[in-house]
Amino acid sequence: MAKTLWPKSSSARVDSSLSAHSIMGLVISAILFVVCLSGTVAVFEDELEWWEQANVAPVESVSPAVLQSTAEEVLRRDPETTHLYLYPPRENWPRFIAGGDNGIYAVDENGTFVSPLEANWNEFLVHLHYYLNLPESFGMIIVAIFGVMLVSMAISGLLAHPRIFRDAFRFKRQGQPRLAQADLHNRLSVWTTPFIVAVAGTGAMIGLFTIGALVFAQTNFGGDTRKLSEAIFGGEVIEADDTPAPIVGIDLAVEQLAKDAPGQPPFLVVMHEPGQKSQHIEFYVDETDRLIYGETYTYSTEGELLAIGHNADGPAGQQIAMSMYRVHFGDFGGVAMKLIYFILGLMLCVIIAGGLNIYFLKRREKGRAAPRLEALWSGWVWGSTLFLPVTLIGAILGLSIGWLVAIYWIGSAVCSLAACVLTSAAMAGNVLRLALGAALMLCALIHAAVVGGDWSNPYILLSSVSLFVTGAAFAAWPFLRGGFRPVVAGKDLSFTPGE
Amino acid sequence: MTGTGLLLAVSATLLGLAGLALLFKVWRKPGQPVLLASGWALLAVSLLLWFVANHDRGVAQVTSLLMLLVAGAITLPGFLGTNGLQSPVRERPAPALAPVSALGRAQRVASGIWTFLIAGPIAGLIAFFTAGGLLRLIRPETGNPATAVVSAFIAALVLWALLSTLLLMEKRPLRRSAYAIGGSFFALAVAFIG
Repeated sequence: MAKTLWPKSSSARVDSSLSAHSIMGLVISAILFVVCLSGTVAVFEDELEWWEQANVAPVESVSPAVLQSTAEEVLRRDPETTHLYLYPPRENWPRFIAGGDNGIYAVDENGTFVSPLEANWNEFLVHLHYYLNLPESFGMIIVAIFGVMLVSMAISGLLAHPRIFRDAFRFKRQGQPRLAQADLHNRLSVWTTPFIVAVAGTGAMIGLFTIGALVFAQTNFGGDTRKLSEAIFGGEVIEADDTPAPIVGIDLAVEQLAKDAPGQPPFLVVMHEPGQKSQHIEFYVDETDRLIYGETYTYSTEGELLAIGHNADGPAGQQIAMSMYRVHFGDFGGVAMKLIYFILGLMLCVIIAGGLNIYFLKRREKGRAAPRLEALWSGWVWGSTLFLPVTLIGAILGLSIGWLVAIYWIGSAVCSLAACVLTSAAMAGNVLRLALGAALMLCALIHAAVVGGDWSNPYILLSSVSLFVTGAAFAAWPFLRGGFRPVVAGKDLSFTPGE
Repeated sequence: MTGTGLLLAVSATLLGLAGLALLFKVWRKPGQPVLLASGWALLAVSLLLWFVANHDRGVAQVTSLLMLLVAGAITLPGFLGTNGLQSPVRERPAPALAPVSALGRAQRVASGIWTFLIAGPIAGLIAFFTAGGLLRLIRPETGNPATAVVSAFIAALVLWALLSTLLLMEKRPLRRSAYAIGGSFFALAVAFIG
């Protein structure tokens, strides 16, 4: 085998790295798994949001006049709002969404408000990933700390891996099961390290921004967090003046933008302080070869260009900060890139689940088997996965977000505890996988029956078909792998309650 | 992406795959430094061409694609063949463990909580305040401080992750506590006095 390029490490250092990796893994894996799983599914949040309200027809384009009239209608419905948001359709996303601080609507190409945007499951999923369903300011920090811990796990994992290059392509399927599990865990981890560090790091940066801003403002900006925030994201373009004024100028500004940034239609229009004298219009334009969220152009209601954000060509720090969102969610190459991120996210979930599997197999080898803990873990992994489609079914049937949160957490905990008390890890995994498959297929069927939808719309059709096919695969999995008996020849690893 | 950009992107992806194939070949049959260097060089050229074709978005795209292809190719056959917790394991007889008293158990729990606090919030405090001190050093006197602020922020997160790992690697609890407490004083001094 090749000589390793990795710095030589003493066995003591490898041991302590491995010990640090194990301790951290044991403490964070259960919640980290939920954060990663929900994030993986949330890659398709836009598509799933539309799927939940499948009866809203695609909108290919809207005129500047329709944007203007839509803004007027939003302000009429939500007069207290401080911002108006318009998401016009773009090349690979034929939807028109508009709203204010207190409500978002799906709108058709003539500016008629079709329905309020009500995608309860999508909202639950995003809330689960961003905040773990905790109060928002607290939850986001907790989730972000899990991001830091994931980076820490990557560091201790690499330090504990002295033969990283020698083992680069090694995968031992035969022989000791723990080594096969370790190979799966290590190979996936090493080859996806850039992805893991990127999503964990960007997640941590997004979630800990308030903490960082608070500390840096204290140490460097005389306690003024606004000054720090403005250094990165820019400040107010116009001084606030709340004198009432008619809402005008979006159509004019759109036409002016077409001249200032030709061939770059906006994907987001934000009107600041609508209905006030200081109202102004900010456009986000997609820079298709950059990772930044978008370049911003700000106009007055008379169509005068007031400011360009310079997110694409400003200071490196500003460009990096503005790239966090797309890097975190894989939103930089259409559905294809989202699919790649989705699979990489699933791999991360396998890494986390496999990490604890290695721990349990090691315990068995040392004569300290913990079958109940194994079953508890297996029940948690598959239970928390199962209850995503279960809550989706609940949302399709009209359950509110509060119910979805309760069902998800209680259901996952019950699966885990039931597995611990009633059965083995292997059996729990098989039963819950079968249930997961059934739930995914039911999602597609119940959705077709209850919501219906336009099947000529590829986004709706593909979402339903994907759910059904994935469900069928999961349902068939235990049978393809030998049914409900643990598959390895000769030894039944199930244990009976009370054993 | 323009036609030229697309051509560049496809060529770059093929070059990247060729680079990975060379690395695999060297891994199978070691002792071929030229092939090894060529493999890495092809990967670097692939990233460079993607950068030309589609700037930083291109680099992120090809990196994601190559990661997926390699991780998938290596692990999929094995993934289908491993059994997770269903696997039979040759179990050794359980070693006889000395009984732990209630006090000993309570001490272990308290020690676990203290370790958690050290590796989590205290390491975070050290990291952010040290980064605050770093920001004082690198912040330009005039002009936009965005790059300095973001660099300090990234440094804080990396430092936090690194400190958590290093503190957990230290097996002696007293020394671990001493490092954490000393580090906290150092960080606060750097942030507010230095």
